Amino acid sequence: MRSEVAAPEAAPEPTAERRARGNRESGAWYPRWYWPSFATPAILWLALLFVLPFYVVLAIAFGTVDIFQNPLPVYQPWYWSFATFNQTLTRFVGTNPFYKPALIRTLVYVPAASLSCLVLGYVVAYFVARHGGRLKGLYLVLLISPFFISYLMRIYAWQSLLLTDGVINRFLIKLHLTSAPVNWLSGRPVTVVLGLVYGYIPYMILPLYGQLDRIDQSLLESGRDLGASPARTFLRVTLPLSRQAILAGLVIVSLPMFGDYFTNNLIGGVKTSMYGNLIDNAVASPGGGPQAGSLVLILVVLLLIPLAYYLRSTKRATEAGL
Amino acid sequence: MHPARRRLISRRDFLRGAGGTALALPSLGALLEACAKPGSQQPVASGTSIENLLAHPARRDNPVTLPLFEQPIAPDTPIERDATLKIYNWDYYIWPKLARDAFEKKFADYNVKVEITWFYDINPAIAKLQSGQVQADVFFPDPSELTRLVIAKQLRPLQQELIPNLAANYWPEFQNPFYDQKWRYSVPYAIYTTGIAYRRDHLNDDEVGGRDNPYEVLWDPTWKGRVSIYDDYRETIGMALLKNGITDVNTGNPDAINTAKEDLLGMIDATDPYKKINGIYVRMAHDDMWVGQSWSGDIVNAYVYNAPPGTPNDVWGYWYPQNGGMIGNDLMVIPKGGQNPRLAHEFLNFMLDQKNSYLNFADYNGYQSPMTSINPDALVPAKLPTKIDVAYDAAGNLLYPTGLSQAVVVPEQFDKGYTLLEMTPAANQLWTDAWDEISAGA
Repeated sequence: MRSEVAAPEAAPEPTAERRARGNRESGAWYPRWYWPSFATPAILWLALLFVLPFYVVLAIAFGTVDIFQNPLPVYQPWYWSFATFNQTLTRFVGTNPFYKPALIRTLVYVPAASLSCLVLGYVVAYFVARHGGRLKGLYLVLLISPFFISYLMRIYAWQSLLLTDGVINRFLIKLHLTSAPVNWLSGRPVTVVLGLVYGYIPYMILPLYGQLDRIDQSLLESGRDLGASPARTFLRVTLPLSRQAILAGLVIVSLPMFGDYFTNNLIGGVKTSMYGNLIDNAVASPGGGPQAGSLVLILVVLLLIPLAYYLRSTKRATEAGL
Repeated sequence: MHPARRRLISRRDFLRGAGGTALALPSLGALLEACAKPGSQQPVASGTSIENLLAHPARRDNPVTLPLFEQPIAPDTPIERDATLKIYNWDYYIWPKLARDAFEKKFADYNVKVEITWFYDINPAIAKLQSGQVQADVFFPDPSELTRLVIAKQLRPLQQELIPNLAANYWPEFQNPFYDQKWRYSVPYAIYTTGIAYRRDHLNDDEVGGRDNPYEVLWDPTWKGRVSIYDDYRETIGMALLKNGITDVNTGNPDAINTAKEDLLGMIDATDPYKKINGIYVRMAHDDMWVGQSWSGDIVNAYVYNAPPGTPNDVWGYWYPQNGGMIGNDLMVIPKGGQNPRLAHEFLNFMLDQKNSYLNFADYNGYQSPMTSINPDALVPAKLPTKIDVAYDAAGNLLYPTGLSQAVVVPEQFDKGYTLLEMTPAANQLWTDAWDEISAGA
């Protein structure tokens, strides 16, 4: 597969000079704007659904509130006020940093849940890709089937399953794993982390499966032929080849987890508040609009760091031809 | 394919082209420049009586008459035909069988349809009314939002001749309420107190009402993990104020608010409360929570509607301070965006009807209406069979179990009670800042 693609690209990259002369030399007759214009739908899409909404977030964060304390966005940057943004920052780093615990919890819960997703998801994806056989299709359908019901609905279902008189407790008591019912919904970190794992794991499995399924069987056989044990083959061949999918999966599951609030809202408590809950609380409190906007901006900046790492790593992988 | 066409464009070429396209988009700044700074145009001119209303909001000792910006509809306005009457209410806070089915039947000659839309939070609901996203004929705010709704010209004044049921059926307290003198814009909907609900199969009455300060039960680590409070900054900070003997539940005093805040932070450490709006009527009904801050109507709703079948009637307990606690009422108003003002008046009068109002309370939402025909003594019989699920007498009247006797709201409680009302923006900011800290779980 890869060799087919690589062959035509083996020719030296066009030099800057050659690029400057345009496509005419290579025999094409398109005007210069022809190929870039293909980006227009995507640019419009991005502008409408990302740039504009993001500008509204800025306008709310640096805006004001109306007589009902509802947010009143200010679209002209020269009128922007940074007071609320600064106040929000001091709640993380000031003398009374009461937002900090929620941030720290998020920085613990999200990696814990993402890594759990990875470990569990890898096993499942590996099994389906390697040992799924003729049932692969069925396994995939089963994996995708939870998507038919919204995450919110599924967490609602967990809420009733986890009640003290709910199915889970009755089951645990029947198996004598616990003598008294466990109050799962009383703001336990483990409930929140498991809730996150449950909610986002399909997003981890699918990219992993996609990648693992594509790994050339002969590479594994070569590893074995060269004397590597199954474990070593896995560590030296399979794992490095699935590195990009692991990273993609981690990004796909952890980014939404950082903003997740309903998992904690529905099965957690005050003491398990996450960053998303800070935003949600600000949105819900009268006059909290600008503060919610500020919290969103701070989160975006924080998330740019792992995202930059991911982009850099993808770029390197592309360059390395992986 | 010709090799020239197969040539992939480089990433740089792509980005250059893409950037050009983006710049070609109409300049956002130019569009926006045309607008004035939002909020710079004050809705209220200084020195007017309206400004005074915002600075000195309605209180029991400061009754207000809300300004009229237009005249009510004429009493002989015809009932709209083929209309869809739009009701915009808190979730599950009105009985659809009554408000929709029975009302449609009553006005079948006019081919009227009723459409009920729920909202889950009042401020976003108001924002939707303001923006025109929701065009409601009838809306359900409380007195703390009423003044601003009127000043923002969101409400129609009421034509009182079309609503005779208020005078006929309701408590004198609501014939000329302090928050809306001469009831120009609002009629009462439901009334409630905020006390402490508890499961008597886990806590006996003495463990709550027998304490020197019964509010302290919510701070008692014995009940850790079983305590619930409302996720509502006004109610919960207000309760902490009352616990600390501060009876101005609309205070703008930073020290008082700080006292309440510190106390609530202490509660989170001590009992790790479940902070939700549906703690009582869902989780306590299922024996998951045992004691919590509760509106009187919520615990009645838990008993009437939400408890699993077979729950004995004597498990329900409710404590409310006899010397005065938190008390309030919701309203029905007619927003300006609605298309059917005459029908909306008919709806208000329909819901204030003695029978309809009672059915809505007793058969559905558990929130009492301030009707003279409801006899508080008759609501709580001396003895109630414990084994049946919900008790109605032979005539179909709702009966409260003894443990809920204090959940009955009586007119005198309004004289002694404290009501959450409109605050100045500065005071509101102090409250929301405190609530942010409490909710962050620091």
